[in-house]
Amino acid sequence: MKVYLDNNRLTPVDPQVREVMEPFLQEPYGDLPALHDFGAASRKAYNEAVEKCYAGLHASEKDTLLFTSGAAESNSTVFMSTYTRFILTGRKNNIIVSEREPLSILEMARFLEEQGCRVNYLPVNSDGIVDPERLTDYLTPRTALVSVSMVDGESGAINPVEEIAEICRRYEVPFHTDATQAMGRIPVDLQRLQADFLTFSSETLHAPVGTGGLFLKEGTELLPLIPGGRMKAEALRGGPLNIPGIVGLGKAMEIAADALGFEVEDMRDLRDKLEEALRGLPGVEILVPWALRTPNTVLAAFRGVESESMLYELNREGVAAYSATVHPFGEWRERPLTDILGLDPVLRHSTVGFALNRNTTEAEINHTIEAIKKSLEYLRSFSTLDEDTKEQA
Amino acid sequence: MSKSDILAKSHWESYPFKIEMLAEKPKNNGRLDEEEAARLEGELHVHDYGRAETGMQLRWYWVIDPAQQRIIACRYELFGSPALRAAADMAALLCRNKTLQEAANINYKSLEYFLRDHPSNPALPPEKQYEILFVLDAIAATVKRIQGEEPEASEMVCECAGVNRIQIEKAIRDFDLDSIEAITDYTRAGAFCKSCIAPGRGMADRSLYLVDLLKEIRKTMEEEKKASGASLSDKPFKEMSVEEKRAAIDAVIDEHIRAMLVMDGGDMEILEIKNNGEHTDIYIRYLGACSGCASASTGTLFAIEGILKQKLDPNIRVLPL
Repeated sequence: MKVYLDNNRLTPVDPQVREVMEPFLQEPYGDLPALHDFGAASRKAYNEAVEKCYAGLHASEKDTLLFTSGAAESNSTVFMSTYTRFILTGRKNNIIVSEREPLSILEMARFLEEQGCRVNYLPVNSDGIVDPERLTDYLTPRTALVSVSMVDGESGAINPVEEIAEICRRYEVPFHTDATQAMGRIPVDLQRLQADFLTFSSETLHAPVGTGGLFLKEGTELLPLIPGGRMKAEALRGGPLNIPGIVGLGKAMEIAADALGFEVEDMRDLRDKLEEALRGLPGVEILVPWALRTPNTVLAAFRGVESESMLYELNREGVAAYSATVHPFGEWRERPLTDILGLDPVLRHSTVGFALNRNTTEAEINHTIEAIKKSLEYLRSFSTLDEDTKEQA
Repeated sequence: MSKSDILAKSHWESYPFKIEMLAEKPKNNGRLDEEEAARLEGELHVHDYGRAETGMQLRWYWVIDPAQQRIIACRYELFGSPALRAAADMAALLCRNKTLQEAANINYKSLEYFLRDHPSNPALPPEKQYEILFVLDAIAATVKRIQGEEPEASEMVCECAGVNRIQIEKAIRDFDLDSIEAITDYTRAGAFCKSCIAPGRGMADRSLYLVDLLKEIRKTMEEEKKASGASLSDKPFKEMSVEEKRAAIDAVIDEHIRAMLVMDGGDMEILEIKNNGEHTDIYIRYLGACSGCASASTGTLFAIEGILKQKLDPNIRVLPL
């Protein structure tokens, strides 16, 4: 049995999403500004997708949506625009990002730092989330942007972005959040969340990887990263729009919104079953409290077992999992996640995570639990783990 | 960057069959106890190397014959990747029936060649070479400790990977490393938080940085090279002194011949080099599986002689003793 539990990276394409995309992969289709029936058909499908994206995120009519190639491009657009408009002109000199942002944001922060901008890294607390109170320590009148992702892609920790957005609004500082890892797992509501910029992407929504979006709150200005739009819909991002991708993304957004109360709860139950089984194993610690985590993720640390060797054994059993990299972003000033959470340093290289999707089945989870037990027992049989823990195991 | 960098790959797919086999079905993993040692009439030695905090730890269980100082049984426990498991398993096999000194002398090439499927394909991709080096370091450190020597005190350069100055200096010298990336590939120093690479990077300021260390050691190596004269002379082979000939022959054997022999479990050494009129006679001795092999006086010998003739001088004769 093959079990795919690496869904924080990519999710499988939903058959309904494939269905709406198929006409665009099989028949000729027109470019959006094109003056013929093919163009008209594309415009119709595109417009429906736009409606679904607005509805899916409860965005207001006055908000602006631009489609991009994914979260990395959306994030980079926000940062480069902030750089050009505020940092380069000397109007502002500071940005604030959390220390556990996705790589595209941390690399952008590093770029800004190299250009002389002051970058503050918001520490993550021992629960794995950003403490909103700490934000006020760093905010100044010359802060150009605050960026905190909604959900940590490795630990599944949910940041209190609504409170952070509220603080930013009080200080009149633009706030950006990358919601990619939250989509389809927890409600994302632009009416409640007063974010100036919100990034999302197709790969976590059961749509093909490579299409993303960026929502701008009413009145928010943005300079395009890629110029060359021929029509208003392309003004903030040039180049012909990825029509099949956008049509798929729209459908995916609709399905994800519908699934929130139902399939997502089933997914949570299965995740809890897996988590319960993990808690029952000796020398296994679960990272980030249950209540603060997305319903699809459980990240565990297996004492005495190295992450890669665990992934190797699980893979032999057909289970695809992931590990939290010790210094994921290499050149970055971050601490290993286990250190942040206050765990024993010997667990740094022992994390293995399991991220479900809404179609994960109970049989798959049962198989995974057996595979984990088997792999753990095998690897611990010749691990350098001390005698006592081994005996417990 | 080039096409080879653009192609997607992971080290799992590039593992040779041997590594895969040893990682999946290790034969020498586990422990040895006093009972087993008593049965073998030897002493049990258990030594740890590395730390789980830095991602790699190896615990050797060696039963040693006290009279001959020979390892008669060898097992291991470890915390590390599948490649480390494969390297440790192969090393455990190689250590058996070796004296402590012989075990300490197992070098990178011999362990690495044993893990290859094909003589020309490296066993591990560059960024995983440190796993082999770690196993060798673990053997060397264990031999030292059994012989009652304290490990040499040395300044810690990379905290994350637990690599000290001596290890880095040794890697730079042994493998002629000339870039930070190469140091990281061979030792894993600088692979994590990057603080130790150069000032201003990573999370902490340090007193010793890899860039400075590399510059310093490369400089010393250059000076040593100048002082000793170029080890490989530019002179034609015929005009070389016997010492220079020996260096040239050694280089050819290392580069073109040894791999071929080691793959089959053998090896060779040069006993003597004599100038005999216009000929150069090289007296060699076969080691391991080569000694006694039927091909050692025919095919293998012609291959060795042929390579030396082609690379150095047509008047070379190889005489096995």
